[in-house]
Amino acid sequence: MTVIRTFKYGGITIPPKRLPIEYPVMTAFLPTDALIPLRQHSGAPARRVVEVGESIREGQLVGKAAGAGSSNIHSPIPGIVTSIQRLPDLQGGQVEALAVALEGSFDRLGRKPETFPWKGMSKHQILRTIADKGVVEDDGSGTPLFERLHDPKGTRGACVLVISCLESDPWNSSGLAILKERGEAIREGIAILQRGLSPVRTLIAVDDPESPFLDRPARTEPGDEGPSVEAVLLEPRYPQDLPALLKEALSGKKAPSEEMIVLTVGTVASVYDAVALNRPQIERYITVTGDAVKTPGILRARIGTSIGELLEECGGFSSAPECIVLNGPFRGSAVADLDFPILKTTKSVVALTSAETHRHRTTACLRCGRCILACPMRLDPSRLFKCIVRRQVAEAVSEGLGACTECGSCAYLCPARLPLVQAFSLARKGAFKAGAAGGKTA
Amino acid sequence: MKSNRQGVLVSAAPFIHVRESTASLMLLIITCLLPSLAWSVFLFGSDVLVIVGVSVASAMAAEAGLSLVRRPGTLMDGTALLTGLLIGFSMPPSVPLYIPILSSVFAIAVVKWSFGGLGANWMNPAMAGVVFSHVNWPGALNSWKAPRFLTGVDGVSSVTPLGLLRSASENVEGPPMDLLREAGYRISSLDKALTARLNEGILSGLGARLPEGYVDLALGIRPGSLGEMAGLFLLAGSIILVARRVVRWEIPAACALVFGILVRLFGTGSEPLFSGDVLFAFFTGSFLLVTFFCATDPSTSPMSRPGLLLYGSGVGALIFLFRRYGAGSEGSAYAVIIMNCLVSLLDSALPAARSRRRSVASQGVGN
Ligand code: SF4
Ligand code: SF4
Repeated sequence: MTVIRTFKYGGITIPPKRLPIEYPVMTAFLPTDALIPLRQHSGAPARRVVEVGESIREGQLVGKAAGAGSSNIHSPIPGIVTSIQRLPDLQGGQVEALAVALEGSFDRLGRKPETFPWKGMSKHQILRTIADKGVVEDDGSGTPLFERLHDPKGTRGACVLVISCLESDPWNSSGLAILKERGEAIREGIAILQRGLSPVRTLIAVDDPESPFLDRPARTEPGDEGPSVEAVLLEPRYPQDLPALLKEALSGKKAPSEEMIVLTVGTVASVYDAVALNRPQIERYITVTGDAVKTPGILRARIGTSIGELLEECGGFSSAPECIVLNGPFRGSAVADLDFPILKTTKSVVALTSAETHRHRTTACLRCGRCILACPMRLDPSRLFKCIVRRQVAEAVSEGLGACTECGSCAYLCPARLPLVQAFSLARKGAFKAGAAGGKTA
Repeated sequence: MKSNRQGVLVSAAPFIHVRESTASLMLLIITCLLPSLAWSVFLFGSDVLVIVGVSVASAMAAEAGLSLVRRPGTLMDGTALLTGLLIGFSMPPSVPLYIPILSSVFAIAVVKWSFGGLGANWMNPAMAGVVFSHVNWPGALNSWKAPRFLTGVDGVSSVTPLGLLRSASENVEGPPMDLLREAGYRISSLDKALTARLNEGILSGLGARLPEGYVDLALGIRPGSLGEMAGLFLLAGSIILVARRVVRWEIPAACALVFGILVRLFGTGSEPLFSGDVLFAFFTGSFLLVTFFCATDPSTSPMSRPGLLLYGSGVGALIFLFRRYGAGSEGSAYAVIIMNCLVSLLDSALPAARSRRRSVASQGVGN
């Protein structure tokens, strides 16, 4: 571990706001009323398979994957479907959601989990189970994991499996909590993925020198070593969790010939749950933090729990929050409604004070160039913005708009507080609809 | 069930920002100029405050008036305040008050707002205001006053070192300091004492010797305009600005380098070839003020590194040209506004910056 690596250009280093590793992880109360949106993944909403008034068990399938990008959804609690509501969707628009009132007994909670003998499973069976249990990626995209791993035509060459222990933003501590609480599950989950993917190498990317995985990345029971796993220490820098940048950081100068498949630790834990414990994805580690929260903490919560309940368990607000953000201040969405539920893609609830947000009125661009130095995709955000404001979206696209990852580094640093990311996001949506876009790949 | 669930998700990420805002950056620049102002008040008396005060007030009044009509709310971003301050700083100590007032109003109303205000500046408003005053009232802008410590100098008719050098060097050659002394330029007793101290203390150990006169220049104990006096304070302020990245280092670095080399080669006017007095050139005229606080205004300088380096070099070269061969002894403001006009060219035409972008554009989404 001589050189601490990172990606080459741009990005920002700010002191991490994450909770220290010795922070206890609490188990959140079970929700008496769970709200389960039928879209918690990237694709189309799942097809509802239960009716109002129906009584359901813990972990029962309530929504069935409907096409590409869609994923199965299971009930986090036993109970009765009391109503169907409409909730705002993180991707825009609205989506159907089941309201479930807690009733009946838990099939899993409180019982010792049985370990399923996954070593006898074939590659195909492993992937099938991952799809059945509704495992979606934990990187914020919500891509069904099955679709990432699946290789129906057998066209995938040699691949490198990269397990990312990097947090999605400096406020998030959930990854660290999972590492700490579920170390063995993750080591086993990696072994399952190695079975499912047969990678030529497996790397663990870590940006915390205290991470338990640095010294002992792989399982070490005698006779059960399995394929090897190497840990790589990276410099903590935002937005290094983006796969493109993570690849750049890991591979250094020489571009790797193998495909890199990047999965987060959260995803690996879900894989273990699905395959080894036969458990659907119904639980999340949620970081509840921000200066407006009285006692920040990491909570293990069931999907469908409202963010208001989690905030209450953390002592409520110590001061009036300026905004409450899901999934981190850099890339997340603000919610105004504390009844909004935890989804499969939720990582954190951050209540920010105005001392943290540093809002100011927007001024004209100062041409200070900070955004250019910050953009890890080497774009010129001020120029893109200018093009978009002048309605020259095609010009912006030729300047590289399609490569923007909407990481927010530019807008974070902009002293003029220009709404750079919003402009890029809107322009991309509009531009791609008009078919004028170049460069968007799958 | 609940009607307030409509559209509660707001996507306006990022929700956090650095502390710095336009106003706070301007405030930092202004703060870095305040020591110079204080020093100037000490040297010339409280008249300085009146001149700078009316200059700032009229700039802000013009901004307030125009922003009411054009785009509300730009008064508090601090840019007008800075413009007024810089114009005040460029005035000689005995200037009639209508000159800074009219120059500030011209800078804001005509130069800044004719193209739509901050962000659309085509030249640095403060520098344009200074040029405006030089063009209209050349006499008033060339009458100087001796600062504190310089005793026995005839108050109103005193000249700046650069001006004096110009007339003294018409047919003599020699180091500028020697010529000045022969022409009757006075050196303060403070300078004599400090130079002696320095020479005995630090410099003798290094085998060097500082001639008399330079301490006066560095401390601004010479006739000159209000803000350019305290070279050392300006340098200190600029270090803060560069460290905080309010100012891109490329501009002052390139400017000082090119200016320094040219001065070394061709001198300020009196020296023989290849033995110009660089120190003298740096600490006379408004070189430091302009290089660090005016040429570096981000909204009128390029954005790419090659652009910044070229722009800085251009400013340095032009300041040299105007000073050495121009009609007046001082042409820094002209140098800046000429380079300002070339910025959009520098920004769009530089191949290095563009090819980088194009290669990204063809890469597509990065993951
Ligand atoms: S949001 Fe887009 S333009 Fe801004 S820094 Fe990130 S990738 Fe670059
Ligand atoms: S950071 Fe903001 S003010 Fe500075 S150049 Fe970029 S867009 Fe303009």
